[in-house]
Amino acid sequence: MTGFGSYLWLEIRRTLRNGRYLIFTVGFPAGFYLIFTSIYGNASLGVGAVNFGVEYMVAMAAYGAMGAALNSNSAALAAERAAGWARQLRVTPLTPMAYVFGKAAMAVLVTLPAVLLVALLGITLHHVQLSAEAWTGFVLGTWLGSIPFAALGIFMGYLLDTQSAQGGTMIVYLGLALLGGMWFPYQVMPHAMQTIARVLPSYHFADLGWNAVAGRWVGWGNIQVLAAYTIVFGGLAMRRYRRDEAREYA
Amino acid sequence: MGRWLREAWVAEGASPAVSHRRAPPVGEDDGCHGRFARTATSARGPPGVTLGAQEVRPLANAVEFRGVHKDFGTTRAIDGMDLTLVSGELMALLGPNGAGKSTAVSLMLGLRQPTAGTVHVLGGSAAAAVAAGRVGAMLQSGGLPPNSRVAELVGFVRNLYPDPLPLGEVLETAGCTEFAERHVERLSGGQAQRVRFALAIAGDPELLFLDEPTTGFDVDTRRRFWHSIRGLAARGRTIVFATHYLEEADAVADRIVVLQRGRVVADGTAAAIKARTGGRDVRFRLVGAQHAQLTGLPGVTGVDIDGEHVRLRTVDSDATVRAAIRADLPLRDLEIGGAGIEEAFLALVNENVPSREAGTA
Repeated sequence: MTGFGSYLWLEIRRTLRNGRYLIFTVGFPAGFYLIFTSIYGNASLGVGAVNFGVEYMVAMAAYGAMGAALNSNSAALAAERAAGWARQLRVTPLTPMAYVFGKAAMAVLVTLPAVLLVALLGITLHHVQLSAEAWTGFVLGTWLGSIPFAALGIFMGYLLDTQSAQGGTMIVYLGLALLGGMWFPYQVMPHAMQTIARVLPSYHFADLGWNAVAGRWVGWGNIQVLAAYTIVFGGLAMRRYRRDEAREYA
Repeated sequence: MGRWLREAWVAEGASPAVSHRRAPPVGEDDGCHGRFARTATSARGPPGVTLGAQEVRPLANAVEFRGVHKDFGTTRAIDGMDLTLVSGELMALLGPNGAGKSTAVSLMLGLRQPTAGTVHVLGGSAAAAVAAGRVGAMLQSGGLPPNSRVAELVGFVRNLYPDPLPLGEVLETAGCTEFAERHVERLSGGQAQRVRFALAIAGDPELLFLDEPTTGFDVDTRRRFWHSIRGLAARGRTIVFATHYLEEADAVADRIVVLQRGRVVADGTAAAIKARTGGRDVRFRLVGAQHAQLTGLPGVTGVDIDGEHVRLRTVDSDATVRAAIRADLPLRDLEIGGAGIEEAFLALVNENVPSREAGTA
């Protein structure tokens, strides 16, 4: 893993300057949070449920974190493979494994600003008050729960070319957000859509945070589903990566 | 090296590189590739190399191709290549587009694996040499990543190598200092190419590959670039560059390997290659020159008369000139020169049957 640390640092700096990353992971979630909470205020979503301001804070933090994990690679990865930067790195001592795991680690790390920004808006604008355990569970869950989406972003970066990667990532991203209950609360979904949501990683990702803010601490079921998706997406990413290796460097 | 290489980009004044130029290799008199050590000036040369002509002995080979073939599907890119590159050489891979230059460089870098035959780099596999940080390369297809700055990229690549050059020195040597803080998206083509050169030398590798390195350079930048390359060669670095610019190979390289259809068709110094393929040119002015009379001179293989300007191609310029003077031809403005590298090159690549003895001797 020669060069992993320096590579990770370079990748983080590059991603934080990436306009797409900033718009989709910081701009949109924060913007949606401000708009929708000002429309619906802090209405309660039912008996025993947390109010809308808290619920939507979790949803938008998860939405932003998922966007960061997906968009920090995917199209950017496809573009740098096409431009020959990946090839240039192959003639340095940076190992191919350090390259791939550097990408994955970067994707997980750059989700944190998206989570923290929405949490900060919740605290400052809607005076969200949670216990220390709830805050910790929410932030850690919404941060580290993004790991399967980091794997998915790498998979798509190897699967798609530069042109299709941008659109393809958007469709997957928005589809997961919509069907996973990030935009419209799970509770108000029709039954059929709730069934769909329950098999998607995005729902379990957001639910990890919802469980935490509702005081239910760790949602083990959510973690199991997310771990399974990590194995699937990670396996697919590794397969595409090996195939790319065999084609480009045989 | 810092100071004087820095001068190369800043001011093209006195050229210390010339005095640093290594002595010609022993055994080069036959015009073939020197398989023996040059009088090495390398601080990093392998142990056991002693300076002085008496004790020169073979060095470790930087690159060794043995019976290398490389196929892409049904296309044969490299067709039986044997090639040995000695540490410290400055070699040009010359050939038209599609001759196999880039494929050969990819094999030397471990980016491609041979279909048949063996490739050794610095005594082991190409991948091992790259992983150990002993190799640097400027690829034809190597792009720069968006959202990064020049100094940041060069600094990152430096960190990957065990014993890199200081950052400032890399930027100066490659001529990148003035735009070191710029985003790579804002660079001109020539500037981006210089950054790629900086990335190649950042780790101070002992073996440097440059694939079509001067593409996108203007004349001035090109001259400075080669000045830096000669400086690196003077420090004992082994350098391979692929080019289709004949004059670059002629002016810069100690040794030229000409590729055609994936084979080595010639291998030697620029002078040897020129001599091998067309002998020499004898030019003079002669009023009333007669074609028949000139064709009969010994050694002459071609006659070109344009008014009183005569150009003879000959395999033995001494015999040709002596005979012309004995015949009392009223020659004026006599000039004898080598055939141009361009003619030599065209003659070589147009030969249908590649000459193997030069490549495999």
